[in-house]
Amino acid sequence: MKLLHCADIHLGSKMEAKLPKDKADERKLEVRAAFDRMIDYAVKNGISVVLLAGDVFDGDRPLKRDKDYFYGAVRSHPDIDFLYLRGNHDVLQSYTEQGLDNLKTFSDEWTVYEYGDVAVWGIESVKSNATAMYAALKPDKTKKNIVMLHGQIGDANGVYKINLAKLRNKHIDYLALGHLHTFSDGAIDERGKYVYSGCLEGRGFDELGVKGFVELDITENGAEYVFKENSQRVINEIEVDISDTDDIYAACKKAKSKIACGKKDMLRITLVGDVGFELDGIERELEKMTARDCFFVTVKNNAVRKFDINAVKGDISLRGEYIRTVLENDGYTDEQKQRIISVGLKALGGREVE
Amino acid sequence: MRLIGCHIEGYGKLTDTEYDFGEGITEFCEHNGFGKTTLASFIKAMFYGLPAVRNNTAEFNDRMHFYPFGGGKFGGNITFEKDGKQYRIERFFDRKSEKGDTVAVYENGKKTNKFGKDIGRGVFGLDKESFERTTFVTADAIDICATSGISAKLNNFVDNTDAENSFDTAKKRLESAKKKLRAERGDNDLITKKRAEIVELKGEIDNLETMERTLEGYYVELTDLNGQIRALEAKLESANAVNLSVERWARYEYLLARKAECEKQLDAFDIKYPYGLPTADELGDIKSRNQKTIKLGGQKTATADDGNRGKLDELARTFGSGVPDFETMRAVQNDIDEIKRLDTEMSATSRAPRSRFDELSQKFADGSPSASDISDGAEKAERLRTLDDQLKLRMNLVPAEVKPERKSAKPFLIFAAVAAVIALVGIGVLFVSAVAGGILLGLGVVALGADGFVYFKKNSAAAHPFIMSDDIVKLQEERQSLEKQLRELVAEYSCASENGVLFDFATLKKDCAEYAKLTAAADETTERVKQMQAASDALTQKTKAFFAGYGLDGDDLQDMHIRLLNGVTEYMTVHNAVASSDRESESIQNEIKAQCAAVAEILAAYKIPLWDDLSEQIETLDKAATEIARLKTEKDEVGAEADAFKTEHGLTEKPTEERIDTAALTEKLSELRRDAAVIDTRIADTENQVDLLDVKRAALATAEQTLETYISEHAVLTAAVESMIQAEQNLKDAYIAPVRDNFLVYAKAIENALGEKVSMDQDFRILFERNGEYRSDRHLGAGQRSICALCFRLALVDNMYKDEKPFIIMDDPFVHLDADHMEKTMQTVKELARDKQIVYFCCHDSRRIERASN
Repeated sequence: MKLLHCADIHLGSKMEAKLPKDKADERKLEVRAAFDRMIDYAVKNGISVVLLAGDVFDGDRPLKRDKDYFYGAVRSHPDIDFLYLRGNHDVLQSYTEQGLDNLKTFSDEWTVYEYGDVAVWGIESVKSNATAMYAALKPDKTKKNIVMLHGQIGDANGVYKINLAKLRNKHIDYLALGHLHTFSDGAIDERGKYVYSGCLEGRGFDELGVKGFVELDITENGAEYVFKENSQRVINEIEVDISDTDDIYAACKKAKSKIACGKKDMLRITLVGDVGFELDGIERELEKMTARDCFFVTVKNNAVRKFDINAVKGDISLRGEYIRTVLENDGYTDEQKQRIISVGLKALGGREVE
Repeated sequence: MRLIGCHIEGYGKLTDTEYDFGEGITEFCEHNGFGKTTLASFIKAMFYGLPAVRNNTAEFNDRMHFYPFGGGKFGGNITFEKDGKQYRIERFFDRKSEKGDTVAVYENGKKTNKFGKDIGRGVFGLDKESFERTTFVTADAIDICATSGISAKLNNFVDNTDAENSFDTAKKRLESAKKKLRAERGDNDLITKKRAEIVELKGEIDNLETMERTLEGYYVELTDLNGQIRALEAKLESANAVNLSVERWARYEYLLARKAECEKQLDAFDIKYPYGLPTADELGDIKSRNQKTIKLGGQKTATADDGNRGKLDELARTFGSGVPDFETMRAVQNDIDEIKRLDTEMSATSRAPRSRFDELSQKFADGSPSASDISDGAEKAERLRTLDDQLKLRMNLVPAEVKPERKSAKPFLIFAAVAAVIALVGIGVLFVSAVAGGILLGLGVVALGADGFVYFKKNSAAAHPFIMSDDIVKLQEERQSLEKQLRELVAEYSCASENGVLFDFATLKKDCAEYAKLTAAADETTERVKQMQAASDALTQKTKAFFAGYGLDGDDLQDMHIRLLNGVTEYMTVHNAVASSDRESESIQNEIKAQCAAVAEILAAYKIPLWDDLSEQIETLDKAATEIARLKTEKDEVGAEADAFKTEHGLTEKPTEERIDTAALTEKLSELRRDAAVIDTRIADTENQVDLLDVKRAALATAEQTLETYISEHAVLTAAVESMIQAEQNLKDAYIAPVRDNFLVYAKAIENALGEKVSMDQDFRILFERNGEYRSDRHLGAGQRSICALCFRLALVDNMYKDEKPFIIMDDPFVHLDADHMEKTMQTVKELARDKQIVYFCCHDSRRIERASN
């Protein structure tokens, strides 16, 4: 029997990447489209069970249109069972639709849905069951057991905390998890595996890399699974050291040469290194230069300005006197001194001060 | 640097004038109007030029002021020494514009461009204003403070750069950037705008948050409504279940009732038809026989044609005395034909030509000659012909003495032509009118014939002249007598002609014979017509009498014959048709009787009497049979359905509940659903707007971050400006202090002359100490200030011109000094200007330097 496992769709979520509004709106639609693609995959491959391991919606009170969309998708695929376990984001108002036979939900007590010899267990984490749920879980040893949970695995009990040790030897073949937005897996015990499917589509630069869902095949030998890439775009981040560049053009050229992502992807470039005042404003320039290389590019300038105080010590000029005046002023922090000197030198150098 | 001399070609009142300047002090003490100020202005103008005359200002500037009074060339040259080289500037001015000016610089006699376009700046390193403030000292009120130009010059000395405006420009750029962030006045700056944007965003966010809170209310309301809807749906479902149960039992009962009704109706049929009904085959046979009977009845009706019968009756009245057979009709036709023939013959006989008879009747209207007259005349004619023969014989014996005279043919030809024309005209007219044409043609032909006859007769008569003798005369006399008698005879019957009496008599004789013959023929014709008329009349009378026997009357016998013949034909036809119809009707009637007997026999088996209207009976039986069959089927089906329904729905006993009216519940449910839909729409609308909350919050965060950046940048720029000013002040303190020191040296030197203790701050502001307090130089007297100004300029010159000191022009600067101060000042000036070239102008001996005691 084949199933799909996904989580953390976060329908209705705002985009974290400080995207312009038009692109943010586009991304919101793409989050939905990612869910559609997964369902299409299920349809094409004759998969009749989809596990939703929490955080289908981004908020406790999902927007009506997001609920309309989600329940519409469920309704329009009556041949697929959607096993929806709520996570920490969609606790209160997610189960609003009634009369959908193919929507299987869970509660704060263990609920099991059986498909032949495959049993799918699930429980939603609350304070009252945070510790007790492990003892209450009693899967049939002879069956192929899938358990759905939402939370962070570890060795402690608590709401949205999953004590992996307490799930050992529970005859679990596959622990379908949600909460972490990147695919990861590991062993529970000799029999079972735990798997975070990750989110379907990255939303910000804290969700880097390829996203997707897990295709799960329950056979006589147990659970076999494979991660399926599904995201519309990949969110990447690169770090570029521009210490060895003397001007903005050279620095931008170097940063551009380091870009390795598709045109439809999103990228954050973090500039590092020790740079002169000549590179002030490089982030804006670099964003302009790379705007067409990817769907969205943002530049974070973490480079540190370097300045040789000794170089201007004997400079009998207004420039030298200015630097000395600033540096000797104890009322400024070092960063302020850097900035004050930077703008002053720009002004003295005949450059416009922005 | 030293001025050597100048040549004024034309400048103000000065024309073609040369001045030489020596080392040290060159003093020009002349009366007013000599041109001292003009000369001082000329020197300055040689280095810096003159401003253009501006049309739009009332200012009376130097170009206008010093334009040569007598016209001519405006300008001259000046020679000076700098860095060991001698230079000459030749400059001539246009009356109004700088564009018309010409200027040339020569270095040791060779033209050079080393000082650039701004020669004064090139020579002194100062702009015009700075030159005037340093080396050009007048008695005018003077701002003793340094100009930015002087400051820049001093900076350049220490900085060794050409960016004389670097401080000003840098400060300006910083302040400009600073003002962009926060304007000193107004609200057109980034920080103010950003703050306004933040206020606006906060307002929008407040609104959206309010809406978001409203959304909570909507959610609660919707949840409540959905709860009500679900409760009502449950209630409705329960009511529907009861109603369904009741309805099912009702349905079951309805089915049973239908079955009972079927049975009841079947019982009624059993009573009505105790021996049953004919089978379907039998009914089919009955129907077939009935159809046949109906068909035969129709044929019978068609055969007994009432129309023909009526017509036959009508014709029988016409032929009451019998119908004439065709032989009779043929005989009547023959009679009619004979009548027609007789009428035709009579008509033809009556129309036979009688013109000759009529002509002769008219000719012999008074009676025709008797036979004796004709006989007597015949004898005389015979005698006459004999005489003529004798005479002819005798006259042939007499020789002819006279040739016969040939008569002219011309009149005959003319007449013949006219006749021919008439005949031709007649032919033409024939195409128009046959009668007129015939008359003309006949007339023409007759005339042509007569003309020919006369012509040939005449010629013939003329061909036989003879010579009479005595016996001949006698013969002639006898002949004449005979001729006369004959002529009288023929004249009586109008037969005389030019053809001679013999001819005329012969004609008369022939006409008489013909007349007698024609008269006999006419009498015979008349008799024959009378006979034919009598025959015709008899036949007509007979025929009319025949037709009258059949009601026909009229004169057109043939028409009556045709009408009668048609009537006979029609009568015969109708008569035959009626007879045939009667025979067929009898046969059909017999067949109908046979069919009815067969049907009666079938019905008798079921004790069903035969109705008069078999069709109606068949329909009734058919309906009854169909209805019985239907009722039996329905009874079976309804019974089966009732059993199945009972089994399917597990009906055991009739429900005790009453049917519940769900209309109110349904209506309430609809109302709740409508309300929920309204709330749902509100939620959707509000959510769409609240959806902007994240965007606005993000925008607010960005705006606040930007504002923070702006404020930080503003602080940085403020610090940069302050640091820049401080740096420049530091420079002044460090490198411009010598100017102040020199000033103080000069001031100390003239302290006695001033009567005050003078000092200078770092911005070159001159202060003096009085009553233990520093005061501005503005509180000094004009004379004192002019001394201070001189000291400042000398200090500037000392510091600004390290290698070469420039010349100093003093245009009567000490007019404000009294004699005591003047004396002291002049002593000091002489001392201070020992290593400088001074061109000194004054207009009174009291202010001459030279007279100052050493």
